[in-house]
Amino acid sequence: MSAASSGSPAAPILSLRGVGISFRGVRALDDVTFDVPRGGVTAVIGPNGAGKTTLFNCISGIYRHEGDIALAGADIQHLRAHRRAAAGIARTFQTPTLLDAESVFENVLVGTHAWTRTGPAGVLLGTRSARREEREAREVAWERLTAVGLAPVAHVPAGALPHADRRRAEVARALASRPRILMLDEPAAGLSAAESDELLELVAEQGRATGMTSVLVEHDVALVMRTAGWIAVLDAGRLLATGAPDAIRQDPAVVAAYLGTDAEVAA
Amino acid sequence: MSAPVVHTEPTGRATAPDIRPRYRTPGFWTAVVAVAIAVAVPFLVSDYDLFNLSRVAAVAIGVASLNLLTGFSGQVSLGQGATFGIGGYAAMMAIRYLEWPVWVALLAAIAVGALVGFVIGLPAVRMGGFNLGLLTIVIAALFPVLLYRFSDFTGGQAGVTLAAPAFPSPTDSLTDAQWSYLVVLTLLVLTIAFLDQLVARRTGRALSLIRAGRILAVSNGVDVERLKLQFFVISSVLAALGGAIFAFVLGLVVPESYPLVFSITLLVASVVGGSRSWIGAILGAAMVVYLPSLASSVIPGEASAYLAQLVFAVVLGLCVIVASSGIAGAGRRLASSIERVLRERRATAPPTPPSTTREEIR
Amino acid sequence: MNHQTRSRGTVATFAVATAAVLVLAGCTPRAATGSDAQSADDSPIVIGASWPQSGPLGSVAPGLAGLEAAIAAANEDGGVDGREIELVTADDAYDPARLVENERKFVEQDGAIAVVNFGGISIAGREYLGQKQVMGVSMAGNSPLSDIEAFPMQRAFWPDVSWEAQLQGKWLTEHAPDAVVGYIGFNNDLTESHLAGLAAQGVTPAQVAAVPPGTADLSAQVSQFQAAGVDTVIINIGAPTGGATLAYMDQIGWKPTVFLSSTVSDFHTVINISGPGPVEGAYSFEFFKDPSDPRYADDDVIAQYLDDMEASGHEKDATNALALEGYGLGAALVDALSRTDSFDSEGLLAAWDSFDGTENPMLRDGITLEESSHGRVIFQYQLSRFDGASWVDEGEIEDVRELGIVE
Repeated sequence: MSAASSGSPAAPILSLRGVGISFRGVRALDDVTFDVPRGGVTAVIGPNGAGKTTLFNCISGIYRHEGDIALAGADIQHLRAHRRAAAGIARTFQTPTLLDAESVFENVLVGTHAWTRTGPAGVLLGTRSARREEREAREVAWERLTAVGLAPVAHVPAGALPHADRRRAEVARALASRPRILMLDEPAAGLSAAESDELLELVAEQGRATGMTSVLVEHDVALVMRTAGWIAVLDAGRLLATGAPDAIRQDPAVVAAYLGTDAEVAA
Repeated sequence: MSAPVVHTEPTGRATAPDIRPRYRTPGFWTAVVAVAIAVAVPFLVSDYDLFNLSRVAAVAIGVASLNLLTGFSGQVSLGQGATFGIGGYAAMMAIRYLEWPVWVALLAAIAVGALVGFVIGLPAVRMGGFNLGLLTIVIAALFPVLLYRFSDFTGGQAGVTLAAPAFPSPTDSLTDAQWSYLVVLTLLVLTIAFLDQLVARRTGRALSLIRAGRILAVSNGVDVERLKLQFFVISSVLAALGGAIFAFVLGLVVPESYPLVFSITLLVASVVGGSRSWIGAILGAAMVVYLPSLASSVIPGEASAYLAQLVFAVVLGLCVIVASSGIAGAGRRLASSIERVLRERRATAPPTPPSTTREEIR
Repeated sequence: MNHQTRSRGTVATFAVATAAVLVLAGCTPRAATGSDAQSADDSPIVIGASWPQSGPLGSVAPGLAGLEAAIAAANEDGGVDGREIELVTADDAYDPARLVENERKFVEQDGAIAVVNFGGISIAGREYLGQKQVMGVSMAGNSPLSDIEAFPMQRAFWPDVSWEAQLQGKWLTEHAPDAVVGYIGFNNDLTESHLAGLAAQGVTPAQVAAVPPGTADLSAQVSQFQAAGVDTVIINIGAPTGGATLAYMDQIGWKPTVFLSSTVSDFHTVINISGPGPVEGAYSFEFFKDPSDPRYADDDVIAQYLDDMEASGHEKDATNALALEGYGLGAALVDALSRTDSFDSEGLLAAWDSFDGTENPMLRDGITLEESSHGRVIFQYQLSRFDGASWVDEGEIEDVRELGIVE
């Protein structure tokens, strides 16, 4: 492990221990071990093909993986994806994935599935608790929708939204799941610098308000250096370094493998 | 009654959109009008027409069960006709051999449907897609063969018949056909109300996610396998119920009624009617019931069967190409256009908010 | 509610109402139905015919053409007692559900006093006809149709297939007691009835091939027959199976004794498909004539039949034996109607049950319609042998009632 790992907080929200995965014999991730500090924004960076999105898919349980993952100290590696979502891991996708035919509000509302409990029977019978929960879900969804600034288009079908608004809607959906960890997969892709700053500021604000931790995969090193408080660097499926932005910027291994060409931009 | 859309009030509100009570949705009132007309029908048309309309209603329950599966939970079954038949046989045999009352026999059909749904559904939801199609097609192909094979039990080609009408009229002022129609209509309305409520709210949202993609669904906390299995079972239960009612209306079950083609016909009816619409299920069922006799009255002889198939194929093709949401969807779109024209007529009225329906955006 | 959704609701409601009006326009008003219209003295006598005109048994459609020709001819002659006979027809595609649907239409909408159909699936409609007290007549020979105790309104025209099977069994025990028999038939209750008949005479086929309608390639089954040492083949299956199988047996040079069941021994069903050579020497217990058989070229009754077929526009089906049998069924119904006391189901049924040496255009010379027993009206057979061009009589006409086969 790199020297830059010093200063990691004592009680991490997420601990990865020896996480690995192979696809048809190709090692996509190998023995990835690091902690995500509680609160704030952590970034996972690395060149194309480093395994960043694969790591997200392992954490969210989409892939079956080797190694252990603990969320706030509790092991979750044996949980299937939907249980991990219910445990508080939310995510967005590289390409915003929305229910295009449904309204923006409805798209945010689906995020509440993670913490609501009403089953088909409850929906069918319209029980008092089902109705109470539905009201609460709608209030939460509306609040998140308002927070990302999409309330004015709440009733518009998601398919009609411009790209930046699709990102916002996706973030609002993830936020509506009341996550403990929000994983953002390249949130700046396709956005202008102003738009992406605004979006990440919004996420950071939500984090401060709720104690939520954000983890983002990002290409834009400058953006990462501006926003992240903690950085993990992946290269060819292996962890290269973790640490605070300043330490990462000066880590020789990171510079050699990855930052070299982008160093000026980053500085 | 159409696919559930959570109705969202337009812009500018500071609070979450209200959950609109059902009686405030336009679909509800359309349904009320439809039911009112349907209740008046038995006093207007002949017993024979009522017999056919009762068959439409029974088949509509079967098609609606398929809509639930394909249109809402994103699964496909080419064996729904077999489940429909199994329900029919279960109910008829319960009456004929066990001498159970009709209503208990219906419950028996429901129980058998649930069992069948669970047994098929367990491997089926794991397979999904193409393999699920294959599994269900095998079941559909096997069902009539098994009926012949165990003819001591099933009556073979002669099937099982009822010695008396299943729903005899309790009053002299109604004929058996009138009464039977009203009973079947009630069961259809209850089924649709059940389905419409079932796919609403949180369950409906989970289903939307499943249709959009597995990864999206699980990432939002939806237990995809569990929900799919639940819906496979519910769908089988309703198919069996529809089949039992169909058998009661007809007064018989025979293997010849449930060939593989029947399962495919149900699927086509679901697509053609509109797999996300309950009205569509009724329209599809009407095609299943009326098209063959209509075709043979237009062109008698061997060609009639081909004509019916041709009409079916052409309508299916049209649906796939121009109206992917089926007849019901096309109707909704038409209604939207009419509505737009009406709105433009009121030209001098204050500027209207932008169109907000998904049909228009598509 | 905003006005968009309100107008949408209005449009949808209007659409539903319109659809309902359209549907109702296609229905029959309540008042106009039922048998009330039947009471007037000069109103037509309605008979419904549900027949396979498409589907797996679409090949029997000429039977309906013959029936229509017979009724048309009767009407041409002034009908029955001054009344016209109205034959209402519908295709059932050999689907029992459609058969029952058609029967309901005939009875509830058209006011039919009798329902005619081909058979096989007609067992599905017996219960309904019983409930409605309407007479049903099937052409076919399935044994279940003989159960008139449970289904007192149901009759059948052809003799019970098991009787002919008994004649075959009896012939075999007398002429070839050591025969190793192979049987080819449909995979339905016709085969069960046939095997039961053979068993009653102590004949149990060593090999049974029961296949679905439409099967053409039985080479595997034939090889199996050969391997099992079969020397007598009984064929009771319609086109194209019987003809194709005989042609194949001829091709491979296998010449066992062949029995063709009467209803599948005609030119259209077998001989035109296999060619005359492969059928030569085959036996059959016959009761009806085949308009394609050259021996009837100068037959007056057949000539009349051909004229009637042409007059009703069915000349293309005229050479098909099934058409003649449908014609015979029609003639039998007309005969019964001419003797009935009342033009209702009860009257027709009583008249149908009391044929007495009645001649019928389809029956072989010397065979007549008789007083009903087991719901059947034909009891006589003429053993025939195909001489390569025509079916030739062998011995005397046999009567299953006299032989103790039917008590």
